[in-house]
Amino acid sequence: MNTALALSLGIFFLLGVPIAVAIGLASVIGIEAHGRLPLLLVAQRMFTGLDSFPLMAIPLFILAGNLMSVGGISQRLVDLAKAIVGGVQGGLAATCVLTCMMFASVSGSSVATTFAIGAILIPAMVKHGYPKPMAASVQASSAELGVLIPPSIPLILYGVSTDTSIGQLFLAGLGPGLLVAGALMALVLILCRVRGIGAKDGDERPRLGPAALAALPAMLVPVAILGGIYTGVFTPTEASAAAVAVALVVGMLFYRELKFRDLPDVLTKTVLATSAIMLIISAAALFSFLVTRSGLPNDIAALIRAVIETRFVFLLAVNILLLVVGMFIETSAAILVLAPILAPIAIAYGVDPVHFGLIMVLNLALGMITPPLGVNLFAACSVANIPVERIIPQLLWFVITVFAALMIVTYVPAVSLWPMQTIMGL
Amino acid sequence: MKRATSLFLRIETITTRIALWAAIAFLVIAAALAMYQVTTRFAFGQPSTWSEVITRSAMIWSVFLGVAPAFREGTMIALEFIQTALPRKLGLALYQLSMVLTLIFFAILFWQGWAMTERVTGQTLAALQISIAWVYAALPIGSVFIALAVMGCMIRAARGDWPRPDGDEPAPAEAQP
Repeated sequence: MNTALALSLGIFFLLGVPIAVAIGLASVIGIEAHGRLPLLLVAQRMFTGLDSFPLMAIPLFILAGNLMSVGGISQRLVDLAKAIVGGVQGGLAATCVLTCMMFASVSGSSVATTFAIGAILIPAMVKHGYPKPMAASVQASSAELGVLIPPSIPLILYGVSTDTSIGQLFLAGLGPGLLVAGALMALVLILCRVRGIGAKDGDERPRLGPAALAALPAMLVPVAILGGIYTGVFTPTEASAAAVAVALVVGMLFYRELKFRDLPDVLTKTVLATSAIMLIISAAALFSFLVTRSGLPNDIAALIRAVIETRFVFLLAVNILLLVVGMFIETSAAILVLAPILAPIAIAYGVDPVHFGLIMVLNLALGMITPPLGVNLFAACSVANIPVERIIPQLLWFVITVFAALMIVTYVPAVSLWPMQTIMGL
Repeated sequence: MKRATSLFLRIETITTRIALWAAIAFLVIAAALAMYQVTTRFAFGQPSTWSEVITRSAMIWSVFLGVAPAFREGTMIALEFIQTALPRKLGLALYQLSMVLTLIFFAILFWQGWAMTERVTGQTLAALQISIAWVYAALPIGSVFIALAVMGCMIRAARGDWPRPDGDEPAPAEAQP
């Protein structure tokens, strides 16, 4: 059955069958190849895979993010970031990184971050003489912060599929998020200096005081979400509902940029994005059930333990595996299928499951800026209006930088675990 | 033939729009109930038992109805690099093949979803006197809308309206991690 599953999945992916359908159809073939399993499993597992309250946080965070990008929050965050870091050469690129970091704390998705921030900053960078492919690659790589800094959809999925606390995962995302943000900011400042780009970025810099005041209501959202989760007042799903409510209030009453007539558009976007990703989650639940039932995870675990002796080598092997997977497979599907297999093995090697979640998500986030399936690249290129081929030569330094951060996150557990240990005393 | 397909496309436009609006309605219900649940927990100290169940059920309906418009708008995520790299005619053939496979899958989901719906009619949702079949029905009913939308995509592609991933169409997927 496993050969049938893997082989058909690979073929369907290459044919360009939508990922959710490819996973579902490969499962059907797997069931048929097994012979003694009922096809009824297809409907049953796809249903139960979605029927979980923690998963409901995903559509609600997507909705909250979409409400906030229409409601004038993105522009306030851009202004605030520009006031803080915009004064130096390459300040606009640094602004992009910092804005994405702030927006990531209200959005759980990197593609949403690309659209919301890129729509403002890519044209601004191009106007200041940045080559379009460079502006797009700055945006695509900064948007990765969307899945590292809480709330984060991939971290919710990891938590659901491995029974790890989503609240702790969210807390653990802060350190790696700040690390990647810092590394990217250093990189863009160096690149701009070396290439002589963005010398006049400081010209239209807003003053810090007014910018901070204007952004204050926008920053209420992450404070409400994260404060609520960390103090244990909210579950992540409740926090996502609260985020929707706060986004509506801030957009409609404070900034008054969100109007009732915008709502159909926001809801349509949310439904389209939600359905596409939740169908993948649903199909992956079916696939993952079949894989687990076949006993493959135990076989893989036994094989790994026989071949690999130390934690160091295990983590290296996992990183290589996930990097390759991340290039070709969509993040949610990869987490739902691989996390239940890999996390128990990681625990056996003495890796903390929360730390391991961050390793997985950062790895797959790197896959979002590597071809052929780099969702951030597609999004950034669509905003910048350039074909994807033109951005690829620009990516090298960004990929190297994120990779270096990934190595630090992998081998220095404290980067992920210190907030949890100090705040929660775990 | 041409008239028949045009008629089909007009019908498909309507069914897909119905699916979209229904999906939006269910999303709003789910979001509103989730907020209601938070409020009851804080105001009255105990969460309402029924709202969580309905939130989940409404979201399942929203997802399976929303897939049809997602196909129509091209927001389904796929690995398209081979379709893009091939000469246009071959790429289009591959696209149509992938859509045929998609149709087969949703035919199976319709069939098995229907069987499952019949099987669970006796079971009721936790904390409610409503049959789970009402929620399971989202699978077969959603599959019908999806199949119509996928056929619509195939007809439009055959008529030359194939949004190639590298083309002038903006890239899909608005909010995806």
